[in-house]
Amino acid sequence: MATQALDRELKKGSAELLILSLIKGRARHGYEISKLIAARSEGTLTFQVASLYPLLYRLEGRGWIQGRWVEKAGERRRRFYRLTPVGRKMLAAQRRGWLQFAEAVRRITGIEYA
Amino acid sequence: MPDWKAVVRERLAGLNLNGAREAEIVEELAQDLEDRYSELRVRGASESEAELLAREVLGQSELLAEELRRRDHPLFEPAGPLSGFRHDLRLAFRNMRARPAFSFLVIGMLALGIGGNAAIFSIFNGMFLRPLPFRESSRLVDLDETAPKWNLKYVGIANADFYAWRKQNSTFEAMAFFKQNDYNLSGFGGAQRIKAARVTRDMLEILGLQLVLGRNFSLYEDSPGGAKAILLGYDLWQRLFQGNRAALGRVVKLSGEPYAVIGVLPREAVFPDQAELWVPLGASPNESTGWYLNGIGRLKRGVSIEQARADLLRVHTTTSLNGNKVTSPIIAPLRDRASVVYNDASIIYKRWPTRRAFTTRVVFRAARYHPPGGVAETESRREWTWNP
Repeated sequence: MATQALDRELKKGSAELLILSLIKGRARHGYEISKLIAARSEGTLTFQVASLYPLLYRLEGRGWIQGRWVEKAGERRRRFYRLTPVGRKMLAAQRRGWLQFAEAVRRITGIEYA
Repeated sequence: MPDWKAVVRERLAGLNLNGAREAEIVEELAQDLEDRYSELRVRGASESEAELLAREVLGQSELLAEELRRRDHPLFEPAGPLSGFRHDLRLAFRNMRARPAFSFLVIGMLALGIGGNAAIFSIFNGMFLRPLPFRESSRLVDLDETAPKWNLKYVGIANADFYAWRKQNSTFEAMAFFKQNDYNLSGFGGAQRIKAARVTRDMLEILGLQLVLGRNFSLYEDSPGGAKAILLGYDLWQRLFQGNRAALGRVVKLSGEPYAVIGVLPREAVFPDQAELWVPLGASPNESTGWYLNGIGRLKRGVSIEQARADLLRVHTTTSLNGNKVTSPIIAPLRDRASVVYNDASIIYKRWPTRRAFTTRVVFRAARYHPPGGVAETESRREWTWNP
């Protein structure tokens, strides 16, 4: 139970960083983002629709990302999210913070990467 | 395939989202679910299994609703430059509505405070900050005579002194002298009392003013027994002639004497105070008079007040005018002699139909003294107005 709660908190704390990181290189739509998170974390991290989209809207509201409907030939239109200049700065700041945090945890716990 | 839009719409019911916004959210979420459903089907799941799994991904409807509600009415606003201000404004209005009496009390106190501050600043600005409305006004000085023996600081300038100062000084570009006079103006639908000034013809040059119409007084007009001519003030010109150029050459009667209108003063000619027209002084250097004139001078460039005072003192003591030296010249910057008029506690404002909104009256305090047998006017006030 305690482990589940910790997982939930860790996920919540890292969700913004994950999304910002995934759209840093190119614009992506919501389903693609959730698939990438699941795939790259090998199933450890998954986002429900109810969590992912409100988070995207929140980031958009802060001006960190920008969503835009894109229509491609033969496909339905999709809403793609890209990083804004402000979001880029926030991503850099969150990355630094996360690295410092991980390093601090490593020093305390002695956990080493494989 | 299930109607995913209907599924999502059902979950969002009751959120009262903006119509266009709701449609976008429904479309986006439905697409996500459709993608998941299709993928599950490709992987071999049955229709019912795929639908069930996709619905599970949609998650708890409460969570979705809560997140979207927060998004639509965010506690956290984007940190725009005015976001905090808008929030404060909303809060302020809400509080004002809740306590109207207290709000009016506070607004009233603020209005009084702001009004008081504005009034005090206007006085300070008029007295110390704003230059007088004349060309290079820092070189303008007030001229007078003082008589310590008579215990009078200001006595006015005697006729002979005025001519001696003007002729023999070496520190002034020009000097002008004047005396305020009232006249009865008649011939315009009844008589009216008009405040006027008798001025020497240098007055325009000293103040650096250009006439709106006509010409300045000639030497002949500004000499004893010269032709009777007047320069109309701008307001009086408007009042009597409605601004008509035909006013030039017209004859007006002042205290029963006919005077020809030879020019119209500009709006800026607010000196001497309240004078609605100028008449030539027409003084004689040979006429012995009391100390009755006011003087104004324009210093030469680079000349200090002290230098000018020493120069006038030199002139004054080397002349034997009046047969005594009870008086001596006194000079002060025009600005130093100015103070804003208080009408008891209130400042006098005169509305002017010009781009300059208000006229502030400026008062110069002076003691007038006439020689034995004359009339003493102690602490009378010389006043003039300028348009800041």
